[in-house]
Order: sequence, then structure tokens, then C-alpha cells
Amino acid sequence: MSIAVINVEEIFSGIYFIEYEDGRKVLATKNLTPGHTVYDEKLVKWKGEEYRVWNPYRSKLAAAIINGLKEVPITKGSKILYLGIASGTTASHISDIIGKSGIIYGIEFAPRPLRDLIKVSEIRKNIAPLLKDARLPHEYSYIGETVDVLYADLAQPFQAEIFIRNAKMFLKPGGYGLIAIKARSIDVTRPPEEIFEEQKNILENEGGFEVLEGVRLDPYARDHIMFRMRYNI
Amino acid sequence: MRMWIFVTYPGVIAISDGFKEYLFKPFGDEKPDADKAAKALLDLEKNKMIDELREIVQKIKDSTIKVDSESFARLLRSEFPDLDIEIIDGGKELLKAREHVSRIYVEIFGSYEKYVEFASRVSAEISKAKVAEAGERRDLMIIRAVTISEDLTKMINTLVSHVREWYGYYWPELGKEIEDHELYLTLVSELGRVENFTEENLRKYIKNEKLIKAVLKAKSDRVGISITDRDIEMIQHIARRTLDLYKDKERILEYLDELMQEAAPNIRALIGSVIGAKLIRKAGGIGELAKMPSSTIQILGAEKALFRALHGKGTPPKHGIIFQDPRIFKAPWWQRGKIARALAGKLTIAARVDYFTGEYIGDELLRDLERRIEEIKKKYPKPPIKKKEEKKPRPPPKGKKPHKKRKKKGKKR
Repeated sequence: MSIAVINVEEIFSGIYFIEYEDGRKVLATKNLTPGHTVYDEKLVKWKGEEYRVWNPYRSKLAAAIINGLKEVPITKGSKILYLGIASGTTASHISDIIGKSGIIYGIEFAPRPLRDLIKVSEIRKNIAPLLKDARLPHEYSYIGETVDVLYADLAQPFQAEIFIRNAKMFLKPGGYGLIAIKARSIDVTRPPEEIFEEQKNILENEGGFEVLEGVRLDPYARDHIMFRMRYNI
Repeated sequence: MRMWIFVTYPGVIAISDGFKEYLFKPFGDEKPDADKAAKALLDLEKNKMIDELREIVQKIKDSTIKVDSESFARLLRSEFPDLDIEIIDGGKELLKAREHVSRIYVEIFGSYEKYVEFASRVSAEISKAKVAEAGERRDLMIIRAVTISEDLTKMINTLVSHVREWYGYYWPELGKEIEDHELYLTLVSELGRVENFTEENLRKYIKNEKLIKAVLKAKSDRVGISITDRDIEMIQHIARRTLDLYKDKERILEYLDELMQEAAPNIRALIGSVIGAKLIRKAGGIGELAKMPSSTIQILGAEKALFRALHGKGTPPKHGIIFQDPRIFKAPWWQRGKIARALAGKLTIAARVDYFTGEYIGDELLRDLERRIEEIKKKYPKPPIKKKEEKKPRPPPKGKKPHKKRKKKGKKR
């Protein structure tokens, strides 16, 4: 029924490129819960393992990886604090990567998508869904520990500030930050490049982050950028 | 001694400053229990003191206690007024202490994996309870948002007509050429005096070449009175503020759409955010709307016509708020009642699903509705002739065409 898979190559820890017979390559992660899908992603079987195809149009992290992110700080056993987790499309792939010895604390403000995430977390037991406002990190202080990676996809005008506030409370010194910034949610009138530069300055000067790289997410998400950062405090 | 206190998923942890010692009181007897943990953390969120926390504080009340937020400090003080509390709400010191919490998790559960499973379960329990709670009152936000958007529209219209009159003393011809309010306000606020309406400047705001020519012609035809710089400055100021209101309205509509997507996705899919919100407002909430029969939803907002009909004057209304949907008001009059009935039927299902289960079935509902509307259009392509002659006593109330006699049945909302 479909085109045969000819190769699966691991490009980062837990992240794979699946190569099809016709030369097409798609991103994928190894399914932590074989047989289950989370959204409408495709499942691919290869050498006794099941992979979930990771759609860059649905997930900004996938878009960043396809567009050449040099390193992915998320690996097996990582602890993640995810701001703006929504219904868990991206998070489900992170959940595949980190495995059962890692955890995602997923913060979402809207009850509706969180309802779907709760269902996902019942099968994927490394996701802790939290109906919270990312602007008020002390309200989820009961996470208790620090995390290795702070990931944010909030589409909010003060995202960088919110990111910094959360880092101060939960991000391990020397840990990593990943933030997807949508130019249009900060200011619709100014050119995106200018906004990205400004946000980068906020993160570096006020947050103690060192921006290691910035990857534009076009054409998968228009006028978006993802920064990979190290937390140097 | 100085002690950190953290309330965590498995229980309350106190760690000494050098991180050498720690105290742990689980939620549950001896071992952490997921249900008890969820209950305790929910209580804590409501700023209620919990036993486990009280017990730990009792043991260390002579130490300086370090906490990570003002609200947590307040809770402790409410029960232990003499406590020496230090608030450290971020930074290296807090993060270092937290790093040790991970180690304690492993000690409590034997492995980090077991902690992960526990935390995920407790978190899901808490979130479930909160989703149920939050779902209930989101409709209040919806009602507020739609009302504000309507009021903004009114304010905008009033101000636009002021600006048009006001600037019109100076240059009456411009108003005739520029019908679009936003464009008019932009031109007035950005360009001001007539001299600035050069071809080059106009190009910045107008794409349509014909319109540019028309404005330039209006410029040469100008017969308005002369005004001072102070006058023009004030006009420009108000024009700018009115444009801001347009932006506010756009923002509130976006917000409304988010709310509807969250709390009433099926209603939104069927009839759109704005009309859907108006229905919710008229009913008094999503729950109320969900409990209404379809026939009531159909005429919601047409109570005046309904009660007039019940008193024996005029015909009963076929549609209320839902008339604002183009599928009804653009349809020929003899189809409107039928379409309104079909739409109201689907809306009733949508409201109930939104309120009671929260699943998304909007696409199927919409597909069914469209199929039914097609059917109506095919089946009744022509107006019914004889019924019109039989009853034509007086002009119908505005927007509503007479209809054949319907069974008399009072429906109070």
C-alpha cells in the first residue's frame, strides 16, 4: 500500500531519519508505547521496532531539527519542563526520546488541550500534565526538583520574560533552554529579524542564557525561530 | 540551622542547608499514596494548611525556614506566626537545593523511574480535578468577551461618525470617496492636512489606483472651511485612538475565539465564535444552553415576537439569534424556517456534547447540517404560492416573513 522503507538512521539520540524507497526522508522517534498513536501520525515498522513519524508542520521542534539544529539537548533520561505543552503533539515525541527514566512536566493554561494531554499521560507515564499559568511558576513549585531542559512554545508577547522566570526556579545551572518564538505574537508590525534579535538580547542579558544557535522554522512555521541556549549561572 | 521546605508530589521534604540531612513526610501512611497526594496538593493550592506540612514544620520550627514563594511563606505564617522565614524565589541557591530533591526522590522510591510514574499519576489526578472545575465557568469569560466586542463596535461607530463630520468641515469631499472607515481614519491620522495627500503618500495606504485618482480629484475640488493646526491635531488624535479601538476589537475577538475553541468547540464549528457566544449569553451559560430543547434554541433572542404570537398577534418567529448566520439570512424566505430548524437541531447536539463530554464532533455535525441544507434547497426551490394569499393581513415585522399557522405551544426560556 505504501512505499517501502529502505533505511533508518539515528541522527541524534533517539531521533531518526526514515528513508523511503523513493528517496523521501522523514523524521521519526522510536515509539515508547508500541501500537498507540497520539495524534494522526504514521507508524513505521523497521527491524522489529516501531517508529512514529514526526511532522514538522505540527511540531516546531521537528521543524528546527529538519532545518539544521546542530544539537538536541534532549536525550534518554532527560528531565524537561515544557511551557505551553498543549495537547502533547511535540511532547509525545520528547516522551519517546527521554524514555521511562525521564520526565516531562507539561504546563498548559487552557483546560481544553490539557484534557487531551491527560489522556496521553495515562499511556505515556513520563508526562506530568499541569493546568497552570506559566507566568506564575511558584504555583507549580511542587515539581520539587530541577530540570535539565526548559522548553517553551508559548506564542505570548512576554515569552522571554516568562522563560527566564521559570529558569530561575527550575533550570539546572548548565542546563539547556529551547524556545520557539513567533514574531507575530510579539509585534505584528515590526520585521521578524528585529524581534528575534531583541528577544535574543533579553534572554542573554537578563536571563543568563548563552544563545548557541537560532534556527528559522520556515516554511513549517512562518516567522518563527528556535533558540538553543545554555543556562550559565 | 537553616532548612529548605519543599512540598513535592510524594510528600513534604525539608533539607538542611548543607544538604546533608533531610526530613520527609509522605502523603499517605509510610509510603506515598497517589490519591492522598493529589488531595493534599489540591488543598495546598487553595491555601489550606495540610497535616504533613504542619508536622514537618513542627519538627524544625526553631530553624530559619527557606521557601521559594511569598504565598507559601504566608501560608506558613498563618499557622506559625513566630516562624523565621526567608523567601528565595529564584537563582542559584534555590536551584542547588532543588538539585538535591531529585536525589531524595530516588531514595524514596528506590528508582527514579518509579518516581516518574508516581508524579505523572498525581499530576494527572490534580489536572483532571482542575479541568472539571475550570470548564464550568469559562462561559462567563465568553459572555463578557462577546459583550465587550459589541460595545467596542458601538463606540467605534460613534467615534468614526464624529471624525467624519469633524474632518468633513475641512474637507467634505474626502468622506465621499473613502467609504472604508479604517482607511479613512488612517489617512486622516497619518496625513492630516490636505497638502499631504500627495500621490506618493497615498500610495502608501491605498493599493487601488482608481481610488487614488478619485482622492486627488477630491483634493482639487475641496470646498471646506479652513481650520487651525490645533484643530487638525485634535482630529488626528481622536482618529488614532479610534484606530486603536479597532485593534482592541480584533484582539478581543481573537480571545473570544480561543475561549470558544476551549469551552465550546462544537458550537464554534457549527455557527462560529461570535454567534455561538451570543447564544450562550442569551441562555445564561453553556450549561443552560445544553439543557434547552432545540425549538427554544431556534428562537432564542426572538422572545418579543414569540410572546406577541402567543398573545394571538402575528406569527410565531422562525429564528432568533441564529438568523445572523448567512446560511439563514441569505436563504430565500420560504427556506429559512426549515434551515433554522435544522441548524438549531445540530446546535442542540453541539451544546450538549460541549457541556457534558467535551469531545470534538464539530466536523461531522457540520457535514450533516450541510447535507440537510442541500436537501432543503433541492426540495423547496420555489416559494409556496397558495399560503401567501390565504394570509396577508398586515406587513410582517421587520426581517420576518409570515408563515403558515403553527401549533400554539408556549416555550418559555
